[in-house]
Amino acid sequence: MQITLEIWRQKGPTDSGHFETYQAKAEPDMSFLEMLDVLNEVLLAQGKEPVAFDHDCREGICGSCSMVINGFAHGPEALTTTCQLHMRSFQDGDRITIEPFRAKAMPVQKDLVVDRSAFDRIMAAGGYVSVNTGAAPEAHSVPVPKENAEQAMDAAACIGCGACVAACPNAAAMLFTSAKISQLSLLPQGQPERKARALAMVSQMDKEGFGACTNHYECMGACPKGISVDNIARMNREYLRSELLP
Amino acid sequence: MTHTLDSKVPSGDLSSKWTQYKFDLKLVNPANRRKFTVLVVGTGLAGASAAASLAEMGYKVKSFCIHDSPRRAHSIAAQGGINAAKNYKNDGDSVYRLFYDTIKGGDYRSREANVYRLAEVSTAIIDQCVAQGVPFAREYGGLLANRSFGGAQVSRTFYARGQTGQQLLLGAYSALMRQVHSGGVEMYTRREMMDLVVVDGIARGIITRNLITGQLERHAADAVLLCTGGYGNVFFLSTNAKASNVTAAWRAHKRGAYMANPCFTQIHPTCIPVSGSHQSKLTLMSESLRNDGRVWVPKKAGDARRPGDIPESERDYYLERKYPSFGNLVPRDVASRNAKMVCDEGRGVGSSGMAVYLDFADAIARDGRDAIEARYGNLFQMYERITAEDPYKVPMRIFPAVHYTMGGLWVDYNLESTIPGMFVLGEANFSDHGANRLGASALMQGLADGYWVIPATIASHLAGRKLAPVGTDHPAFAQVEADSKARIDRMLAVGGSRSAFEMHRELGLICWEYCGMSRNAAGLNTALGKIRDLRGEFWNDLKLPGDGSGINQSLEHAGRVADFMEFAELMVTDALDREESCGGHFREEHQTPENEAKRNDEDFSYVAAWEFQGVDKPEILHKEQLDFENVKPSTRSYK
Amino acid sequence: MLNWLARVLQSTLGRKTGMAISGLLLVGFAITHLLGNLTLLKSHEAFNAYAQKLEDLGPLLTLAEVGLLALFLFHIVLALLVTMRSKSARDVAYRVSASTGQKTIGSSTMRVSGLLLLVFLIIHILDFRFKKLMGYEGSEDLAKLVHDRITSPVGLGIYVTAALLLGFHLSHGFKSAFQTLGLRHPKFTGTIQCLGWVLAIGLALGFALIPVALLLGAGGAK
Repeated sequence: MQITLEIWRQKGPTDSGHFETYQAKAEPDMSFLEMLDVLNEVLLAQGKEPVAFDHDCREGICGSCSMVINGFAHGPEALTTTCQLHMRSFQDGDRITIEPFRAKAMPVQKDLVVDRSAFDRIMAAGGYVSVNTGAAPEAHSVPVPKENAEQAMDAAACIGCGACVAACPNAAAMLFTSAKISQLSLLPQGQPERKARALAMVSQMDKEGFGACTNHYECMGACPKGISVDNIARMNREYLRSELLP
Repeated sequence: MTHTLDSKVPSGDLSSKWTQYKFDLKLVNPANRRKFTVLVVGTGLAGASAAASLAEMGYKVKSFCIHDSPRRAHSIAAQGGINAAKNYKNDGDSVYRLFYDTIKGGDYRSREANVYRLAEVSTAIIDQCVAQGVPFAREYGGLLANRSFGGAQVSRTFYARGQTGQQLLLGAYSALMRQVHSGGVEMYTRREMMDLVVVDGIARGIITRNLITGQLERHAADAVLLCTGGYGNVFFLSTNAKASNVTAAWRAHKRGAYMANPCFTQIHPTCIPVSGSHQSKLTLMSESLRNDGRVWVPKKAGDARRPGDIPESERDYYLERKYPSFGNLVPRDVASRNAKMVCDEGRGVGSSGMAVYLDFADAIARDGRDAIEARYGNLFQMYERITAEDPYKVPMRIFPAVHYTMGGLWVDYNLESTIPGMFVLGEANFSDHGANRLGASALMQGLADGYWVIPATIASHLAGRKLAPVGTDHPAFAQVEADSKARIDRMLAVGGSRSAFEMHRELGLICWEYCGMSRNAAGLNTALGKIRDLRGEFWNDLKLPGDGSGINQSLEHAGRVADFMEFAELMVTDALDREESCGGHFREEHQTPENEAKRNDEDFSYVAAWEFQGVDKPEILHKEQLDFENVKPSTRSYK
Repeated sequence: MLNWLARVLQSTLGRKTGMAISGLLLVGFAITHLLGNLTLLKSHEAFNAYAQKLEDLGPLLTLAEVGLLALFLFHIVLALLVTMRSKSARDVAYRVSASTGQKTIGSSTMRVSGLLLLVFLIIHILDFRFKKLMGYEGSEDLAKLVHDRITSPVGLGIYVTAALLLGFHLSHGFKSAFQTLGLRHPKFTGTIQCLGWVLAIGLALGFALIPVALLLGAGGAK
């Protein structure tokens, strides 16, 4: 396959950045990132700077990928991270535009590398159960209804990649934040801190400068793990519960 | 200077050693703990759990990770589950049975006391994770579900769908972030450890490189914990994440920490085969697939027919043929080795000839497509996504891939390396899995080390030794920082023509060819020569873009490849030295007439711990004799 | 209490909640408004009698009107705040943007439809309520005033367009409000979506068809 790539190049956080056009060769069996590996080898051989991009596990679970491909966070395939996207999803002669995830709260650091530390700060604000090592009761002392455990797992499958923010027309981080609030509010272990957690995480999310949800649900469409907007409704409920109930 | 290898295993009865030892350890007064700074390098299961637990106790912790967030370490990719001797299924499990299975599974090359402790604390791990809100699978009654995993005869594996590693890591990460929030942990993301700073023989700090700015940074401390994972990427193609590397461990090794059993590497039999020369990474599929899939290749070498066109009578279900009682469920090492053997005979399938079939046709005919989909739907989907073939219709093609490394830095019972003050946790140490790791045991060990072992044993160092105050202005820091800078400058100055990526791939091929699933003296000697040549080429012909400032991913990678180049030589040396076959280490010279592994307990019942002497100088071998007081080594047989 | 209110209204979720509640109340108003308007289809007298009934409420009507105005303002101000926040949350736009198919025309035109409805609202108030309050000539026969206005070519265009805009706005706004209030459950989310469509289409058609019906001779037109 012969493809034309338009890739966002930005030297550093303060550089204004621009698109560059490259010609690349690919095989249908290649993953999208392997196509970029090959491009980078070519660039290096030509004495040019390779494209910087975040990647690690290359099996769809670490959440490092942070590219928008032809307008889609993680590319055009549903439930697929960029690293699991294959070139067979494209046609010979295609023109592919690659941009970094874009949000003010996730600034570009170089080329396609973005800073997602805002997510960590949202987690630090309350995305945990306060239990010191050694203080836990016997695992079977508190049964958890299977349905709750399953729903909590649905929410917990979030890989923290930020595609929800990237795909949101408002650059909101509701799906990410709600997934964690949901997971812990569904489990008995999360009850004691339920109110404080919802308020603290929502407040931190606002502080980071993410946008406001207008319920387009594009986040859910882009999420490689299929996290549902049911979680956003649950977060809203948790928030109201925390603010309204005594 | 050579160390005597004192494992510091406490005396006494196996089952009371850990309790008694914890009582005998000196304690650090709670009020004094904040005076001690502990550096934790790595935020996988071991690192995150250790950093969180130590901060909870009151130590001043600095945590370092190579990623943009501590939630991304490769522990996250573990699928199957975590073992614990809870005996919730009433099927006769116990701490002793988990201990016994792990020792036996490790082919009698691990330390009894460590393994027993691992089994002992396994139950508390589950308690802790449940309390953190880890959404383990549950039964309808609301209690935890278990499954049997990796051929174990009891159901002791706890799991969270196929994402157990992810959920356990996110649990540890949440505990870590709680400490970051409360100020107990200072978090340093996008940092790579460049070197260890040793002052008066004691580990007192590290030099890191800020991967965003390129700046070298000094961190002084009273103890250093390496939780930096395994070295599987020395093979280039492995199931490890791309950033997984040996650098931190290797730097520490060069500063005096012994490297133990580096030839013990685990090859996982059910991975998706290599599809082309551009391949960057191998993907593992849960070995549960072998519960229903039948492994076969054509009887005739070079048979290029499509699988459906090969009649039953011309297929060789070689595992069922050779191991009638275990069949397709033989352990990982046996399954892997046999796949290689049939491929070497020219009977491999697929375009590369380096794959075997894993066929579900019989299972689908027997149980129906729906039943198979319920069991393996997500795996089939993953396979189809990567290969564009439908495994419901065409047999899967699988091939073994490097998956885990049992070897690592040598540690004693305290998890302390041969450099006082430097502890090694998780996959980075050699400690608990011997020559072969059992399924669902890696997560258990990472969390055991971080949650339960190090919080107790770190006192042996902090309360047991008099530590002079050392700051980053100590000349040792300036010296080590200068070393790190010189190394980076040297790489940038080569100005050759070959990329680190390309040379890493070449190194991987050498290791896989000669030090992979089966090894022999001639091949290993060949490998030594090739590795040295390649290393020479690396330092003479490396091409790097840019400079040392700002993000330079090529430079980061080159630094890791440079260390793999040196490490590979030691791995091969260790494989050459170990004249026996055990676990993941198969020496062709040491096999039975039926091609089974022949262990040599008489001469090789020891941990091989290597001491660095300088690049291009032979390392010195130290042996820690393994004494089996409780379990009598026997031959593994799956016939 | 004031602190609490300030905190809630500074939070994105608080503001969204405010929008959702005010939006739903405004939907309620739109429904009663439509029902009242239907009297015009019966006869001018019926419409004027209905208007007179409202006038007879005296101070209660004033109170209701002020409340209604406040509700509109609240909804609009919060919308502006939320929009400004979202606009600033993405400082560099994508060169290419695509949809995963979740967005609808209704959801992506909320801001435009909302702004146009605001413009319409001003015209609408100037058209009728303002004239009535100021005692303009001809405002005593409200039915005639309305009839003439909404059947004139320009008036017809404005009022039918506004009705359709309201439909668009509600096609997303109604179900969105329930989501924002956390009222989502497999058992009733489908029903809410259906109800949203029924309301959106019902209100749009209802308001739009009144002038059309009048032109066709309903309400005993001249």
